[in-house]
Amino acid sequence: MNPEPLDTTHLLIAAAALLLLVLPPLVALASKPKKKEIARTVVVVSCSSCGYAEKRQYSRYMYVGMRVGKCPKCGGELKVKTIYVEKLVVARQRTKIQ
Amino acid sequence: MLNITWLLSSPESATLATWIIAISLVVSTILSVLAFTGYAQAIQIRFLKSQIESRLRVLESYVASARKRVENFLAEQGVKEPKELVEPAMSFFVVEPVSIEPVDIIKRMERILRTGEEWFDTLVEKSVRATQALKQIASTSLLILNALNTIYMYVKHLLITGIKTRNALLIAQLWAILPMLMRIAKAYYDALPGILEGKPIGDSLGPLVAYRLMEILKAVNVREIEKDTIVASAEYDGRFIYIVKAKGPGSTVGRPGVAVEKLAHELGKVSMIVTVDAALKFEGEPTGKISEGVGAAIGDPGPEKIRIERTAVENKAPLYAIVVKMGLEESIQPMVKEIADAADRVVERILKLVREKTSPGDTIIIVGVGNTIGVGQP
Repeated sequence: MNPEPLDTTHLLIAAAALLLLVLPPLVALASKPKKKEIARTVVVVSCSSCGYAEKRQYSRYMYVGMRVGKCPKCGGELKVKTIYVEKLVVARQRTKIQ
Repeated sequence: MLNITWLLSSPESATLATWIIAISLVVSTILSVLAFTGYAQAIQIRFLKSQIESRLRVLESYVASARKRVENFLAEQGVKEPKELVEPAMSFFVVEPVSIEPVDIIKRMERILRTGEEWFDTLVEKSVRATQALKQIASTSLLILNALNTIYMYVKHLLITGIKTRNALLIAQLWAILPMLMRIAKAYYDALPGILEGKPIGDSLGPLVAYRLMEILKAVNVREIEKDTIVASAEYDGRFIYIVKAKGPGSTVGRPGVAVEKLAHELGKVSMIVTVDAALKFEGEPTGKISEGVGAAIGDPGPEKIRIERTAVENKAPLYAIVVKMGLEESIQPMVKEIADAADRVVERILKLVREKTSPGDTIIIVGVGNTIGVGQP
């Protein structure tokens, strides 16, 4: 005995429900996870006499070649050798669907 | 279990299929008529316009935020009315020299560029009460603001022109190049905080290499040979080395071409010239990659570069170039570790080049090209 045929309304409702179920996960999969980066400025100071080097925190208007005190090892002159930015990836989170 | 064959042959499913086909036919006919009559273009313009407008709002926010930052910086440097500096700087423009007559184009270009530099220097000089380095940082921040405002006004102009003339092609072209313009604008916008703090940027690579060389070779007689440009002399393995860089730690590129020309005249004979600069990498290349080549590695429009080239010709000196590859954003934003590490490797390459290509007694000029912000001299 054959089952009763589905009417048009039921077919349309079934198609819409399928789309609503399938589309959002597909879109979420397609979107790339967003990296969260923070930048930290690093200052390397070094002694030209003995080669001692250490990292320090950056403060505004520091520059390469700037005299920053005495070497703790030999008492020579400490100067800024390099200033650069380190980019650190902190967290990975998916983008929100808007 | 559903009997699919029976389902599809039922009167209800046949009606649905017919309706779907009928609606598709009507829609495609309407779209064809709209395309032929030009209404489709109007719909396309509307669609692209909304996307461009959202980007335009982002550009507008960049300009507003950058302007506020620059005004705050100027106020900190003692400027009573920052708006009096910012407004003229934002709308500043340069008219290119006539190019169909090339005879003295270098001199004309130099005159125009120098006039532009002097315009900004005078604008800052009369209001900013600070050190030379901070005045130079103020000038550079005004230039960045000018660049951001120009991009914003250009995009706005093209959009409005496209809408007024109902030119869908113009708007489509603007939509196509907009990602590139947004990338440039974002690079400038993100560069501004670092510039205002006086941090070295990627383009400071050349001056950083020059500084390292001066330190390693214990260079002496550091003197200002030309406006905002210094030279120091050293000896290495029997060769006489002259190291040229812009005078830091302010934001300036100096005049390395004029400096090399003057230095060569003072010395009488030059055996080799080496220029070191930052270069834009191809997408896919790693940041910090070092490449060697020939020619004058300097990104100026012509006046400085031609002086270095002519000096090499007059002295029959080989002209070598060493560049460190980086992206556009990396070149104008605070220097990243890969570029800072590359500086030491470049110094080794230079010394190797000097040992291999010259003989004891030779005179060599090494130029660290680039913006010397955040990099001083011994």
